[in-house]
Amino acid sequence: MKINPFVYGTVVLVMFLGVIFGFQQAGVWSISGKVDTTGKAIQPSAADVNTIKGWMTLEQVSATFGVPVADMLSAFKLPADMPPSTAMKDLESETFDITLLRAWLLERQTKP
Amino acid sequence: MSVQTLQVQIKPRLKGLKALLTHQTFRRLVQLAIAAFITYITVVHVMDGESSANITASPEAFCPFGGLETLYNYINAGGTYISHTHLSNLVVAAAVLITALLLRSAFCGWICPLGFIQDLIHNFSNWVQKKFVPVRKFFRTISQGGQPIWIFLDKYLRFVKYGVLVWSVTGAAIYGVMVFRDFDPWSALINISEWIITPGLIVLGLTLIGSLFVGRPWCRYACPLGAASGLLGKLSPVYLKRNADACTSCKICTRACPMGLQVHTATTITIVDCVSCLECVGECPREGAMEVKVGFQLMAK
Repeated sequence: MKINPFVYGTVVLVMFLGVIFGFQQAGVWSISGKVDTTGKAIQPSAADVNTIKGWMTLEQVSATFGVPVADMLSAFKLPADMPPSTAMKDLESETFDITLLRAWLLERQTKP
Repeated sequence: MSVQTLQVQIKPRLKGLKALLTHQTFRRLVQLAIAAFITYITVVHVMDGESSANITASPEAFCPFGGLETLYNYINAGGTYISHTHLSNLVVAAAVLITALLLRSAFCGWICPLGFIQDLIHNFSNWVQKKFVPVRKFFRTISQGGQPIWIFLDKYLRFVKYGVLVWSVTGAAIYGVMVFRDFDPWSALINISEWIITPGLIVLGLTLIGSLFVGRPWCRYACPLGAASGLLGKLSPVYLKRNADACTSCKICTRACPMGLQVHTATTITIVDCVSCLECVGECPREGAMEVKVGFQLMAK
């Protein structure tokens, strides 16, 4: 069956945006690590390392988990003069990422 | 000369407003609207900054390939994402893949802003070559001089994108970070305000310069999202058909194809590299020679 190119383009647009809109309507949508799918602000919690997000700064993580910034920097071989206001996602390197930080914090928490 | 050739009808030449009311104009408007939206998101995010009380979306939150990169982590680590990705990346990736499954790589041809930028540069290059004879001679000298090796390279470079796809998705799964991000020209473009020279910025520069010479070099050779979308699109019931009875093999369709496909020799165009831009359909001067079809090809034949 032949399709008019205009119809094809319209179907492409409707299909693509429709899927996104459908997910949004179903509550499956979040554009920032600062809020959850309901729009509620995410706060770091010492009880859950998974609440650490890329936008959080060194000092926020330090204050929440009670770990000195200097300890975090040395544990991951990051420059000692790194400003505490640096976001986690901007620290990513071969020696550091959020997954490694979560594992490291968890290990510290479980140590007697 | 067969009787069928004599029966071929030439499409009426459209003039004025009617000449603008084509699916090609529609496609450009869609691409422009998406590019404008992403530009707006980027500017607002840069102006507000990360530490602002206003929660603004990073343009990276709308990148479908981020969804493919974070998918393994999302499933494996209980709904968490690798850095720079969010739930929106997964949703946009789903939209791209569902669209590909039903309508082939239409995302690449109709929506992708990086594809649009390459189209603009390539069309500008073609326009300059038409207007200025010395420029045309310069491009012709380069293309004719390098043609034999280029034809050879073009054939094999097209496989690079599958390597990029495997490397970036498995790398993200193994290391939990976007191993591709530093090399990604799209990421380099939307983060250009950071003024950091990354390999991605160099790839972006090469892509933009390359677009002066060939259509969509990034899409042809290296785009991992295009590779995934193209492979899934093989299952789509939509395809392009060249009607040999109506076709005069004038090669206008082949010259119009931004992906450099040999449309004029194909019967059905179902190749992975086709971005479904329908330029071949629009440019074809013969009525019914190039058509978009839907249905199972075995039945169609």
